[in-house]
Amino acid sequence: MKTLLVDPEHKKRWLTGLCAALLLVGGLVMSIAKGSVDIPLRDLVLVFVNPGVNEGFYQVVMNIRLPRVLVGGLVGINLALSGAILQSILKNPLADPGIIGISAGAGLAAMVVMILFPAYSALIPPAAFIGAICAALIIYFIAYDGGAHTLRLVLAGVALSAFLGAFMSTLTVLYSDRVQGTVNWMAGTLIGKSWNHLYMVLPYSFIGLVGAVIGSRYLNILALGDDIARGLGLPVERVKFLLTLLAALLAASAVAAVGLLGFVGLIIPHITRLLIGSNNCFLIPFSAVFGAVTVIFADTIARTLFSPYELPVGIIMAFVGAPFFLYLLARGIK
Amino acid sequence: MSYFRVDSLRVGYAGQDVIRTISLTFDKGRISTIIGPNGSGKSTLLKAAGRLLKPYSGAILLENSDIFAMEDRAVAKRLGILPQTPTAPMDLPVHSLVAYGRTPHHGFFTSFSKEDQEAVSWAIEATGLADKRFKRIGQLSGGERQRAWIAMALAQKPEILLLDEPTTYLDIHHQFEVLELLQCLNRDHNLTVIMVLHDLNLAASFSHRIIALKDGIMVADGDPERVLNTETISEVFNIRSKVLRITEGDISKTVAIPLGVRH
Repeated sequence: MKTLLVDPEHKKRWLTGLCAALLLVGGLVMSIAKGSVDIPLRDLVLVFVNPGVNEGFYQVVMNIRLPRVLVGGLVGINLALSGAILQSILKNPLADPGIIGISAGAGLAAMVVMILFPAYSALIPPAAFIGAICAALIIYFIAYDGGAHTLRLVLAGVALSAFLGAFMSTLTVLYSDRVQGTVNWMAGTLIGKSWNHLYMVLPYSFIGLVGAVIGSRYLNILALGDDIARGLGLPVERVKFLLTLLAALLAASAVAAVGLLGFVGLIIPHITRLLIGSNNCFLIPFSAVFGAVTVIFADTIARTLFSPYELPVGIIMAFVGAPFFLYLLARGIK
Repeated sequence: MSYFRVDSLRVGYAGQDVIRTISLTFDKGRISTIIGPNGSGKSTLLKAAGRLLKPYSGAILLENSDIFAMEDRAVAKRLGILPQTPTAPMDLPVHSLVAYGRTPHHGFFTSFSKEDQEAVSWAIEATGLADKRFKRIGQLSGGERQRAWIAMALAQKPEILLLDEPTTYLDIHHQFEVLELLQCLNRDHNLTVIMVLHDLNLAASFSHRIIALKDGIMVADGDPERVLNTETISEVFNIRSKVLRITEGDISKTVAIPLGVRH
C-alpha cells in the first residue's frame, strides 16, 4: 500500500536537494579559489592534499579564505532560518530580522560591547542576543494581533531600526577613535573574518539548526491557525515564544559576527518556498542550504567585482534584496 | 456522571461577558446544534467548550474532569474542534492536512505509527476524499475543502467533535453532504457532535437536540420538534414564522418558514 501513497512532489524535492548540494559545493570551491589572487583548481586540491607544495596558497586558503567562506556560510544559514521562522510565526511574508528591527537591536547591543567594553569581546554574542530579544518583544507588542499586519509590522520595524540606528550613530561619533571598520560592519561584512569568528558563530548555528528542524513540525501546525493548533493540543503561546527566542538567537549570532547583513532572511525563505512549497519540514533545511549558498556567492562577488577594492557583502545583498522587497510589496501581499 | 458538561459558564472577550452563565449537559453519541442570532454567543460558547477560550468563571467538564486542568494533548485526543472557515497553506496536500490530525496521538518526537497511518486512511475514505489525497488545498472546491478539514478532525479520532458553522459558504448539495457525513459518523461510530448552524431547517433535520441562545443566555433547549415553534423563533430571531411538519415517504421533517420581521 505504501507505494500507492508516494507524493508526486517527492521527486521535485530530491532534484532541488541535489541542485542545492551542487550549488553549495560549487560555491565553496569557487569562493575559495577566487579573490585578489586566483588559485587554480589543481593547486587548491594540493593545498589540502599536500600543504607543503605552495606555502603562499596554503596561507591564503587556510588563514584567510576558508574561515571567511565558512563564516559566510554559517551566517547565511542563521539569517535564512531566522527569516523562515519569523515569517511563519508572524504569518507575514515580509518578516525578516533586518526589516522588523531585530538585527538593529542585536547590532546596538553588540556595538555597545565592542566600543565601550572592547576587552570583553566574548560577550558580544550574548549581548546581541539580549538586544535582539528586546527588539523582538517591542515589535511583538506593537505589531502583533493574532497575526502581524504587514504595514504595521514594516512600519514598526522601520521606526525601531531608525531609533536604534540613531544610538549606533551616536556611539560611532562619540567614540570615533575606537571605531574601526564600523562603516563596513553597519553594512554587513565578511572582510577579515577569522577562525575565531567561525568558532563564535558555530555553536549558535548548531543550536539554531537543530532547534529549527525540531520546530519545523510545530511551524506546520501553527500554519493552520492558532485555534486549530490549540485544538490539536499544541501549547501555542509557549511554542511561539520559544520559536521567537530561537529566531532572535540566530539573527543575533549572525549580527555579532558580521554586522547588519540584511535581506538574506527575507529573500531566501521566499525563493525556497517557491521551489519546494511551504511545508516547513523541507522549507527549513532547504532555506539553510540556500542561505549559505547565497551569502557565499554574494561575498565572492563583493570581493572580486572591484578588485582590489572589497565591498561589504551586505551591499551586494542590498542591491539584490531591496528590489525584491519592493517587488513583494508591489505584488500586494496582504 | 454526566459525560460532557458546561457548568455555570461565564466567558467573553477582553473582560466583556458574551456568555452569561450557561449550564448544559451533553450525552454521549448525540448531535446537538446551537442556534441563535448574530452576536448571541454561539461561537463563544463553542470555543469555550473546545478549550480555545478560558472561562471567566464556571467550568467545562469531560467526565467530571475540568478540561482546562487537563493536559493539552489528553484533551485533544478526546475532543476535536473545527473553527469557522479555517485556513491552510494553499499548497498543502490533503493527506498532509489529515495527517496533522494525528498530532495529539503520535507526539512530536515519535514517527508515524501504523495506527496513525490507518486513522489517516480511514478519515480520508470516510470523507470520500480517496481520489483527492494528493490534491492541494488550493485545488479543492469549497465542499471538498470543508470535508478535508473534517477528515483532519476525524483522524484525531475524537469522541466529541465541535464544529462552528461547518456549512458556511457551501451550496445546498455540499451542505447536505457535510451534515450527512456527520450523521453517518454519529450513527456508525457513536461520535458526539456539538455544532453551530445558522439554518434552522438544517439544524432541525440533523440534530437530536437544539439549543437556542440569545444575548448570551439560553432561551430554549430540547429536541427539534419542541424547540422549533413560532414563539421560540419569534423570541430568539425576532421574526414571524410558520412551523410545518412534513412527511414524504419515510422522511419526516419539521420546517420553519420565516414570514417576515416582527415589528
